[in-house]
Amino acid sequence: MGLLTRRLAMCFNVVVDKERKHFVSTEGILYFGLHCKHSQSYIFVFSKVYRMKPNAPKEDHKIEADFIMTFPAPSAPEYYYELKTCLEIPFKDSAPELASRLIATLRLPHYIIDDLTESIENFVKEKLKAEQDRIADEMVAKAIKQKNSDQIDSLVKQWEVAYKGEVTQYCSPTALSDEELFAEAYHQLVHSPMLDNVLKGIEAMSAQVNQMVTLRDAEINQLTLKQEREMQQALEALTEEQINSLANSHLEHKEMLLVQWESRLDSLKTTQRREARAWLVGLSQQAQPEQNLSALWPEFELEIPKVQTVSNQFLPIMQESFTIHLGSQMKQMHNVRLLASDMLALCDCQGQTQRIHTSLSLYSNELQGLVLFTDCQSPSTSAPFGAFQNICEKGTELHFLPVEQQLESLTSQARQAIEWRLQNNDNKSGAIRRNLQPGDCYVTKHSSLAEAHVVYHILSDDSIMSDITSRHPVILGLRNILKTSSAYDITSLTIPLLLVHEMSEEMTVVWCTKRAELVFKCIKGFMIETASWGGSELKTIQFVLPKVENKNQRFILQTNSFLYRAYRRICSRVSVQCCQAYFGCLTH
Amino acid sequence: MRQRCWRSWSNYSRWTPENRRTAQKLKTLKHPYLCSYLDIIRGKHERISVVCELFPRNLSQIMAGNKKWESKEILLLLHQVLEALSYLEANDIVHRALDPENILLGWNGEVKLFNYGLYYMTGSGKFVTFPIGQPRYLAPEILLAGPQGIPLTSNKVDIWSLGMIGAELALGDAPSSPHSAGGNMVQLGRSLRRVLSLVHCEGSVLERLARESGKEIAYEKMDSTLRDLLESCLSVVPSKRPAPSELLNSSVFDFIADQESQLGSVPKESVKRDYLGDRSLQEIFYLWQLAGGDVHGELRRQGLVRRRPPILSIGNLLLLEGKHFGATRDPATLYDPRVVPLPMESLYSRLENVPPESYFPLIETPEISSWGPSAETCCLPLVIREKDTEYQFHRIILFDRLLKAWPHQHARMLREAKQDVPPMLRAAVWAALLNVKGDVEGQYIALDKETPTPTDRQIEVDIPRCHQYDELLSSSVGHLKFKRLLKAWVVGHPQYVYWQGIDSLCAPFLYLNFNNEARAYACLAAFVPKYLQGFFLQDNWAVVQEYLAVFARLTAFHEPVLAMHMRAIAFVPELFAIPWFLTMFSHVFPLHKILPLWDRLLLGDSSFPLFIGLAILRQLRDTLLSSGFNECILLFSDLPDIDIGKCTSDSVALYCATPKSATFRQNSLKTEILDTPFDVEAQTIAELKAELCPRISGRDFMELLEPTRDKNCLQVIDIRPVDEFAKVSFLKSVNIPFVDGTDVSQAAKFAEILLENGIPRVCILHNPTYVIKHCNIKLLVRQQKL
Repeated sequence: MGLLTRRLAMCFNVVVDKERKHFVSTEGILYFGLHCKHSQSYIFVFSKVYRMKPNAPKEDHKIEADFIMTFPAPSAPEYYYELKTCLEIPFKDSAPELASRLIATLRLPHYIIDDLTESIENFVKEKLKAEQDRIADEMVAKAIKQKNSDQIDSLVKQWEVAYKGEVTQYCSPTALSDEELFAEAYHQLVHSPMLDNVLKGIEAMSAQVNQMVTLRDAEINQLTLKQEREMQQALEALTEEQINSLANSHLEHKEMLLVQWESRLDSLKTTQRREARAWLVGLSQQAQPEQNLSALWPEFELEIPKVQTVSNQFLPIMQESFTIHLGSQMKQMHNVRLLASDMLALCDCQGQTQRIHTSLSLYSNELQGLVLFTDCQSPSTSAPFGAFQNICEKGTELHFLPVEQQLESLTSQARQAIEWRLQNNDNKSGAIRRNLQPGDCYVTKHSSLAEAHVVYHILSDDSIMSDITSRHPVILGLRNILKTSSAYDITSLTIPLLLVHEMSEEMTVVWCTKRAELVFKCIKGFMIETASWGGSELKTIQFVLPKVENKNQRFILQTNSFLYRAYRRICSRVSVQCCQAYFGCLTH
Repeated sequence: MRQRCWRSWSNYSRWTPENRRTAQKLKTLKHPYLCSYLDIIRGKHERISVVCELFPRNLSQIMAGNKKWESKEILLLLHQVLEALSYLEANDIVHRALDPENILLGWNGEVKLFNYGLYYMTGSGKFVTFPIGQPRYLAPEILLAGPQGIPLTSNKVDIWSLGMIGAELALGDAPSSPHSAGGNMVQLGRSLRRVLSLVHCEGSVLERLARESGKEIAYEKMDSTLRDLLESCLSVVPSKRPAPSELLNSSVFDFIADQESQLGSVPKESVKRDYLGDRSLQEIFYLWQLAGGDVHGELRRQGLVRRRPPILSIGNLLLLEGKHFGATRDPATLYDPRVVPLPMESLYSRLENVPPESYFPLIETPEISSWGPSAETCCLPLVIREKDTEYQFHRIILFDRLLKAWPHQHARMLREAKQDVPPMLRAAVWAALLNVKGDVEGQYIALDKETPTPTDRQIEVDIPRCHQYDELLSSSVGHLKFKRLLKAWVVGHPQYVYWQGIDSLCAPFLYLNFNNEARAYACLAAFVPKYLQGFFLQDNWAVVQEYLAVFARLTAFHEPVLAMHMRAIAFVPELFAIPWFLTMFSHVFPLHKILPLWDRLLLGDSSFPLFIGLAILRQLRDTLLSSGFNECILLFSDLPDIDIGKCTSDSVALYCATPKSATFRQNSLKTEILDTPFDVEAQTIAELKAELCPRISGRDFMELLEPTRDKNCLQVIDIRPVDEFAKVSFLKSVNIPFVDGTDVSQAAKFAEILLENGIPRVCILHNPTYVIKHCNIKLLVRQQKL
């Protein structure tokens, strides 16, 4: 400490008076000494005042300035105290507080408090003004020197962009896009007595598509059988070369057939889409002038082919619901559903009711989201995605592009995104991949699925099967998904609990429980976090377990106990109900 | 009827909760030439709407009307604006958006500056993506810095804007048609270039402006004082431009002595006095909200909030870093400077039938009932009363008067607070109930809140966990204030240490007094000794143990079955009640429940919290009785939903049904000293724990025994042997011989038997031998000598 004071003394040109003590207090280093200035003796007080780190962002401009005040020493008026302290400009503290703090820690006479406060205030004000003027003057001086008109042009441009992009007054009034018009028309229709008509129409279209798909499958089956038969015969009778050529021709034939069907399906869908959109917009326009919609609807008898009732080939979904309350003092209520099912089966539309639900809320502020996992290497060709595509194909997509086209537009986005990543992540160690990474997520929109308007396809790789921590990219991806959901009014979300779609051999019970615990813990944290973002609340969250016979019963029990622990239930009544539900499930 | 309106503007885009907190300061600004800010409302998806005072006329309208301006008029106007600006300067606020549309004219034609807080509340524009201000009036240095802004903006930019406005007035050069839809863009570029070209102007800027608009004659004819003033305002070099406070002191304005503005006042339409309009704006706005006013609803009705269906906006690629690609911008997220007057009709019609006398209730003479709230409303549940416009109106007026007459009217205030406390004035009423007076501000300033201390770390850990669902308390400004308050408390109370829990205790006070830290501190400092004497000592074991033991005894007194059950499963108060009492329930309930609870608590004495705890147990009684130890622990680790209304009324009832001496604690703050043998003495913790029943003092006992009291309020059971009982006994007592002599431990044992049989309200007489010897003879039955 002695060394430091000597240094300080040197810095500030102080004659160290050996008689006097220096001491250290929490305020920093205080030094009392005799100081000769203008042949007058000063007692010199130096202090460095610490203040709490201001929470303001770091880029805030600030300077430091030495505040000095002199006043006669109380006991010996011929001496002067000189108080010197370093202040930050702009001064964010309060002057009276600083004054009383200085007086308390430096043991200065209390009567100087008013003078001290005032001189700090004035000092700070002056310094701030000087600094503001300096900056502004510099700016103007620079501009005066440069008589370059390019400079001005670019400035004007920047401002114009800023005003145009952000202020309604300057924003060019955009007409409603086709999309929005259709959205409005549709939303109105489904919330009117027309709903039934609309749904019937859509149902009919789906049925047409379904019929065609069935026909296609039948024909292809037929062809396969026929080809197999031919091949069988050929194997017995023909040479290898001939067999090869036969096989080739079979393949060609089959591909041709597939392509034909594909194009027929496509054209059917395009026509349907076009016609339906025109029909719906027309319907809503006709309905608009007359308030009484119910009077109108019987006239719209559409020719609807009889819809075949599809027998539900999926087993009833095993499920349980809980009400949980999150947050320490203010409780936020959420619904948690735990179910064992195939993820894809969940979004497969099984009938009218599900479709009503999807269509009613499509343009509302209560959307449903679903998380699917896709392989990172080849997102669009991986097996789960193929199955998902098949399900999408079954329904008629009137509102959004077919899923293949949504994907196509994605590729260009992905290129942009990767470029953005290259530019912004240069400080990160390690090479950045040239394609999307695990944890990235692409989003498709649907109107013909059950349980989902928005599907998040989160990319993952093999590491998902190993022991992962809460900092695994996929978990971070889930956080982004929750955040996005809250920003875009997705109030119900379905997540595969184990972060995989199917059970496999490596997934032991221990592995599963560990994984479930991790996911519960993280999602709970994210849900609490999202609550403060001011978006919409996540009302329902569903966790889906892969469907595996026999093992499941036992597993659901264990997962439950984690659900139990992870979301500590608060309301006793609900917890009793939960318990009942939970034990009820066990006895089944 | 003259109506005040509010406008609110809305905007979206990258507003963080932070800026709203900083903006809290705006609500405290008061100046005759400023429109006051009333509220800043955060809507869904971070849409922020600002509610403030609005006047129907603005300068831009008058300029468009081609009014001829006298130079005196202009000077007068400039002077008023300058007064407002220098007030803002003193408060470190830069307007940055000064333009004729933001200079409103009040009812008497005085200037009312508007929208002055936008730049301040957006953190100098850093929190928002939109640019602030009309380019035509922006100072050159702002434009030169580009849209990202300069690091420090001085108040001199407002002087430039003022100069521009003054020049337009003096030259008669009003901008043509400000709001043509397509023309805006063209004008934007033109005004930007115009200001930027002024930088290179070598002579007088004013002269150049005059030349550009062909008004040289007006320039020549201009009053020289005005011309000099405007020219100094329009100095291109900022350091040569005066600051508002400097300009205000210039001799130009000497002619304005006490001359009122001549800009023309609005003739009053009716002679009928608008009593409601005379109340403070805060009050009117509060009542307006109660009368069904809804700012966001109003915006929606006027077509300002219109969102695209979210599914159309959502992007199609979401990177790990959280960045979206392919999302389309919802036009509803743009900055929308439009102003929407909030209609006042519903409030006025709601309060139509209130007689003018009700605005001036008498507080010294007996009340006249027709002036106050109707008797039926007074009987409604608290929740309904708090939402009733008319009732709250009466309560606010009454409490406003009482507060002005405090502490003289302290007794009346207590009486009224028993009925309820109006939420709008809660902060001030609480401070009065806690007897906060004196130089609160000065004392708070004198406390060192900056110097690091060893408790800082703990405080920093605790604050981000304390009532963070609240927007104010979770903001960085809130955290800073929290920290200052807690540090001040620690510094101000050297006898105490920082215990976890004091943060929760501080939260309600900070929440209510967000803009008045000193009062929050004073309330906290008054609250702690009243209810938590000794709880924050370095070694608070004895205090807490005593408290909990008394709590356990009271539980046994009122809920014997529950108490015995909890005892049987060893679920002692130490396991759950410490956070209750250490934080006076502020750790276990959300703020909206703490406030009504504390309304009641503040009226009670130091024993009242015990009864609140008891009322909570009573509400959970059935669940607790059917649960074992583990379930109980789980139940209390996250307290279930408690009905606070029932809890408060229960606790009052329990409090009234308990003898004062049963709550005796040696560590409580004593208001009067009671240490005669007729009073309860301190017991050791072990003794306290050994006896399950509370003790009643001779004083309370004798009072209950008075023949004038209800017969059923006391049943004395004498457990002394028959012969002793026969010699002398208390009135109405029953003898159940249980012991020889007066062994107190035997009494405790007997009481335990009673408890096991579920008999409520059992207590043991303290010091019985002394009492029986020295008590009033009228209360005794003596053996008749035969």
